[in-house]
Amino acid sequence: MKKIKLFWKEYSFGFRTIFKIMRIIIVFFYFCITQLNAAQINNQKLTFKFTDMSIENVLFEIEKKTNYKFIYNKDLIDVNKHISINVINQNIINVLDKVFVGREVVYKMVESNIIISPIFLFQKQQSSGITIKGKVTDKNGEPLPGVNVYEKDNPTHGVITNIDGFYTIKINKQDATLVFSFVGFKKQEVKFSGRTEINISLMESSVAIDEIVAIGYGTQRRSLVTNAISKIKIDNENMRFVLSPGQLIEGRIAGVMASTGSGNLGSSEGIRIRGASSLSASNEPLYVVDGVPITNNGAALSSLGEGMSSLALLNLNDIESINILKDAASAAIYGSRATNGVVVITTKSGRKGKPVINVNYTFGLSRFANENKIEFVDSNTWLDIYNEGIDNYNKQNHLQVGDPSFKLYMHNPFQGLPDTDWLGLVIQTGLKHKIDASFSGGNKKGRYYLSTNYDNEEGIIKTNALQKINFTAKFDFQLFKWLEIGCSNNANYMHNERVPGANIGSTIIARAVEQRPFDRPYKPNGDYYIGGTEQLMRHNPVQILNEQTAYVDNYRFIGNYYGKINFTDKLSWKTSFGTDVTYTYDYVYYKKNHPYGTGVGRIVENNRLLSNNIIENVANYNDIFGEFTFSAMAGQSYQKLLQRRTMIDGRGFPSPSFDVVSVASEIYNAYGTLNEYALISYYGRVSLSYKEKYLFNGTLRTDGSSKFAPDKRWGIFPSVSLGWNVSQEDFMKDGSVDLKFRASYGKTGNQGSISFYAWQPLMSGGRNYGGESGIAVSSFGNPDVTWETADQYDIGLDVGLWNGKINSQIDFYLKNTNNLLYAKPVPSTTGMSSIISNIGSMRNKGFEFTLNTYFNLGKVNWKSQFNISSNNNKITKLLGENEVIPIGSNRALQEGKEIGAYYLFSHQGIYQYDGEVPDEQYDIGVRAGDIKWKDVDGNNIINDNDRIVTGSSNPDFFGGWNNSFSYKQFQFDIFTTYTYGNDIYAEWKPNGVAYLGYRFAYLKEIVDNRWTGPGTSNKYPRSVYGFKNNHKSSDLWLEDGSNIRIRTITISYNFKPSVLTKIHLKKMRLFAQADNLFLFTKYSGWDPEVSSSLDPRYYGIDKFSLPQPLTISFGANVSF
Amino acid sequence: MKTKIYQTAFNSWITLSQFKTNKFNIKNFLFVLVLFLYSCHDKLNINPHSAISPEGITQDDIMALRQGMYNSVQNRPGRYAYVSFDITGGFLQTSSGNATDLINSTLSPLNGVITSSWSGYFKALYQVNNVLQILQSFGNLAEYKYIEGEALYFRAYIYSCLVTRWGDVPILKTNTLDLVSRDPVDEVWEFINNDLDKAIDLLGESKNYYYVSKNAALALKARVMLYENNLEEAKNIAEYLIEDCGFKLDSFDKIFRKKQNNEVIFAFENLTEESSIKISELFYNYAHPNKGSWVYRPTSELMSLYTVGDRRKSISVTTIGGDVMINKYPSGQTGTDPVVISRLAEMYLISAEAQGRQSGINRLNELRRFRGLADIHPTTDIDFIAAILQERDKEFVAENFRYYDYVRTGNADKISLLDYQQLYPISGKELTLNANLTQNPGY
Repeated sequence: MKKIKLFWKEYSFGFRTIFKIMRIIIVFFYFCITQLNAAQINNQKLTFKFTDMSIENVLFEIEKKTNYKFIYNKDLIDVNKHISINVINQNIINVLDKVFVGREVVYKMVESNIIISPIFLFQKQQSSGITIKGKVTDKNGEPLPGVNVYEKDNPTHGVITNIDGFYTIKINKQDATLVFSFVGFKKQEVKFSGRTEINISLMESSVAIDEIVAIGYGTQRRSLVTNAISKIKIDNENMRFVLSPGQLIEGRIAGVMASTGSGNLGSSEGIRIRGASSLSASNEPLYVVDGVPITNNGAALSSLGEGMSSLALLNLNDIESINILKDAASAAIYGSRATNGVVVITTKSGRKGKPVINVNYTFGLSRFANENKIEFVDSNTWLDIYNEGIDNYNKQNHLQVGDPSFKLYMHNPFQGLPDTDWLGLVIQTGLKHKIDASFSGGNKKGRYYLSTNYDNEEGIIKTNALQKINFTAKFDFQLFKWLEIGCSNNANYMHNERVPGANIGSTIIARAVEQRPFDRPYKPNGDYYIGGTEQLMRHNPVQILNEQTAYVDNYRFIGNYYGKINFTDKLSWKTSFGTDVTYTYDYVYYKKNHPYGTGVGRIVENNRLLSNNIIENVANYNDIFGEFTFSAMAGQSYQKLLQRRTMIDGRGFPSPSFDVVSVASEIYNAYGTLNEYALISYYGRVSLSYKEKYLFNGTLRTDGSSKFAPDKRWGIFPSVSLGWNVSQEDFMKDGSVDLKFRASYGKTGNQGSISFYAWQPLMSGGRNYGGESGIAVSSFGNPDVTWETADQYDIGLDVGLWNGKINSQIDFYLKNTNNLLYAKPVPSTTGMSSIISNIGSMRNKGFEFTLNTYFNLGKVNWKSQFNISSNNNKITKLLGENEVIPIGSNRALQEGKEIGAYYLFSHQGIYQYDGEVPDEQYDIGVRAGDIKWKDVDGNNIINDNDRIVTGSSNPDFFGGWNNSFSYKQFQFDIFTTYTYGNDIYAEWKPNGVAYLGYRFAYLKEIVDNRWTGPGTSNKYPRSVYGFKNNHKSSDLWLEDGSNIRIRTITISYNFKPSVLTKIHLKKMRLFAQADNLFLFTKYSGWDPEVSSSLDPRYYGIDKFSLPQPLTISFGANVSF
Repeated sequence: MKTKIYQTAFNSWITLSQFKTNKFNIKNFLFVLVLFLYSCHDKLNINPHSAISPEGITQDDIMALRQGMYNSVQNRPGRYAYVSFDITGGFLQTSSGNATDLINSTLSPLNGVITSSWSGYFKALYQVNNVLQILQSFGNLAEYKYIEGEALYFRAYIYSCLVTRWGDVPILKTNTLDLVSRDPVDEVWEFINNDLDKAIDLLGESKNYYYVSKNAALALKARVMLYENNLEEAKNIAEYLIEDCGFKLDSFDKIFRKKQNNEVIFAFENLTEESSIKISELFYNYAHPNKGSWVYRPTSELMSLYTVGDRRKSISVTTIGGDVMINKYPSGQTGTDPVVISRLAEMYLISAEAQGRQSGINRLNELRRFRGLADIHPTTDIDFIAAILQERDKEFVAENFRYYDYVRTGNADKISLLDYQQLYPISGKELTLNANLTQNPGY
């Protein structure tokens, strides 16, 4: 109580104190979003031994070993004195302290120049004996504002350094010890011993243990974190020439699986944090950009065969760091949207100091990777196999020449002409440019950050191209001592000229490679061969690319505006308004010669406005009670989403140069829709620590959603987590080891993806007939439907050894999702096919392990970042029965199985003789050489009851490993990602290129290993015309997708500052990067990591999605 | 308004506490906070903009409800349902194999043609029963009697589709969430008869042949009677429609090119902006100006069926660049075409078949003459039935007749159907969801 009183008393000081606290907060935010975790590896360490050498020579030797230059006045500093010195692995300030031990000098570091001057120059007046002044800097000599300076015996009696790093403290005792503490830095204690000025340089603490992490409505120092939160700082070293943030974190973070739809520009991405935890509600994490929970609707509106990523609009160079809240205890503060984890993206801000200009330019070339991996047979072989199928068909059906059904041999209509390289006709080398610049700085009153970015990229399929332009402006102002206001404005534009993806009939890659080898795109008269005819089986991909214009324009604005009032230096209130508005214009023009052009030309125009606004009020309270540190946050928010969409489908254009819908002779279809959804939330957090040894965090959130009936609307999502910093205990306090145990429990919710009006029975309009308005029941609704909830447990251990040279994190977790939201299938006799319901439960359990090491191998610095994670998914309850629920054409859900399990016929070999074929199958044409399917129910009929639930698209484990070697100015990075144990269904085979006897290209491997007579093959069937029985969705096409990919190899050169100062540059880095250079996998397709669907239920299907490209890029990063 | 008051209160409180007293009162703070926050919970009540609650239906909505019923019965079964008897009838094939291969692959519990038709008919039925229930709740007002008649017609139509495909099917007089079981074929026919008789009573003239009329109900009744082998009744109704109702045989060029004609008794208008029934795309290829994905193509048997002079040929089938196509639904990618449910030619053929060889041959030859063919004179009853079937084949290509014509006349083997294939399989998905349903034997 006494201390609290003291606190209140101090309060009456008024604005001065408020201002100090204000500054703490500014500084706090400042450091949250600036580079506190700069690697220790960059901190030059000195090791040398000199005996009886003049200080001048010692400094000279140091200059030779390092980038530092010393500046001093020989008249003021006695450098002739001889000293003996022995330093091992010390930083420069510590070394200088030894060199000048007992001398009254101060050092000031300006870039790599160290100015050494006598202390008296800085002393304006003699101290009165109880006042101590000084300056606190970081290792670079940059002033550190906001550092806590206090007497060790009297922790509440403390001050904070000002914006220039200076402090003044009055102390009572002559022999006091001062403690300097600051987030992200090692705490330092200095004995006062009568000095009046103590200048000190604080050391950054080791990377993993003391970084600042975003925890949702705030930040926390790593040592106080009790949850599973991973952070990746986006910098030049881990930057890739990609479009969306998901691709940057791929393989970097344990427990986070990032996947992409295809190698087309801007293709959609999926991020799965700790497995899939929902059947039909969204499995995507919540994205929060600078505090604004953003929407993540696809960036494209027309179904051109694949989804597009809306996150690809963001400027990756604006991203300071990405924090992943993985466990429920960290994510629960986001309540009902947190089950899939939360991705907190923090963008860069201005920093106090001189203006900084950063300019980056990258140039890249991309190619179709492993183009020749899939081998097809040539025309002659193709005809042999096809005609073999014709023979088999005619023989089996007893058809003679002259029968109307008798099938004729096919001959090469282009005999003597070379085969067509169809793939070569549609792919290209893509050229990519990217330039971005930022300008930032600030002073006591405000900070600013301005940036812009321009991307111009070509895809690896002809005509695929993308331009992206971004502008960011961020300001923070200290208007009054008690009031801070600020804003961030993020304006993005992306223009994407699309090519059809895998899920549409006009898909390019499949349509190219599936053509027979002798087929040609053009007739001799220059007309296209039309696909879907006897002359060309598949759409002509050349025609498709030439005769369509398809692009999508996205304009996205993300803004945040806040005002913050500090009532006292412990209590603050922040009101913020966040907005995320996306306007999408999707244009598809099928010209009249396009197969979908209806013969007269067709334009489909989609417009969408997505508005997402949020008002938040958050109060923060921080206090210290003796050895206890206490902080609390309480907040409230109201978020409203609006989706407005219109579509016009116009047909009939006189010529392709008329390309707007107003010219259309007929408006074939048009509609407009409006949907709204609101979420009201209250949340709070309490953090408590005792001596930083024993930690407690508790959060509570309650969300009300308009998607549920009024009495099912509110959900309560609590969490608790505990931490024990074992290394803070006396018995471990030697400082070289960091050890922390964490344990947490939390409850989160999920309602993503379900209809905005899910609970309401609906009588929908638009069911018109004969031009008159009609209405009909469209949904029964379900007033009982409510939140999916997940209970998640996590235990973790953080270990840092040898002063942070080795850091590791290990987590075990268990996540039980209940009340799974699912469109529960009901018999059609009810009048509906499904009713949205809460039907089951699912469990995810797994572990994650991260190991980061920093070692010197002679003159080479080696940094390694390794992670591995394993997740085990199981559907524990489903409709209360153990029935298989078939979904899609080859997947199923079943209790006890994983989400992502396949539901396939099972291949038991090949019938070698007709006599082996059961009569029931013989009747429908099965003969020797056909596949013997597993007859599960033993009735000799092969139907859907004979499918088995098998395999899964979920990997057993996956992860990434980055190794970075630096030698002098060079750095070499090699980044590998790996996945093990996932099954891929090669859907491109059974009804495509593995179908011998059909008129598609044939895979060489299938041809070489087909059945041609008893004993020839027990795997691939005979060639037979028109017989689909061999091409059921079966485990024959289920393949091991395990792979190791050399994701990036980067070589970079950082110019020496000494060189750069001559040309007035601060930093310059040149680099070359190869992305996706090597892939090691048994999978027979091009890329085991693209999928026609990113939904975990359907993930892992390869329909000839465009593989990820091989990209070689070169670039420069310059600061001045 | 409330919010505004609280905000004002809040603002003044800040001013007071910060600048005047400079004292912090946590109680005040919490009090204002709670007031401030609780003011917006009604914002969670959001209603859709394109739908209303079924409870909100008033008498004013009945017309809209009726149009919705037409829309549902037209759209719900899906486009395959309108040609499924052609797909399983042995005159169509896919890009590989022959007609038998298509039948074998279609008649599977997993096949989309089967599953989507089953669920589609029941979804349409739901809307029909819903209209009947709502009409009942308003006391079956006299002014809406004809709507009740339309609903009963649709129910009979849906059940006639169900029973000819699956045999025993659940009879749903009202909508239910129960797990229903299959009722015997006889009861289903009985149910259809009852509905049709009531519909004939309630219905009269309609605005045009895109709406259900008394004659439409009669035409369906004639068909049902033929199917039930009640030949006398079938003949009588068919003759009534031929003789007394003002219908006349008309050219295919009018019937299947959306021109005013005297032959159609009832058709779904299937307007492009109201429909997803794009039958056309299944039949044309991309080289044809109409453009389509050429899923089903006529067999060479069908192509050779039309003899010289048959006026139906050019509208029934066509050839482009050597590729053969069904030509009855001309919109291709550009839209949808009306779907004829009953037309007078069917009455001629029903009458002929019901009368038998002796007198029936006249109606058959009348139709043949109108279509440009010479008279025939079958000498045996078997030949006569064969001639009827062949005429129906030519007349009704892609109009959803062939499979059941051969099944009901005992000629299933002529279109290569195996014994068990004389009924469609029940959708595998439905069997999983409803344990009370049983599969037809053989599947």
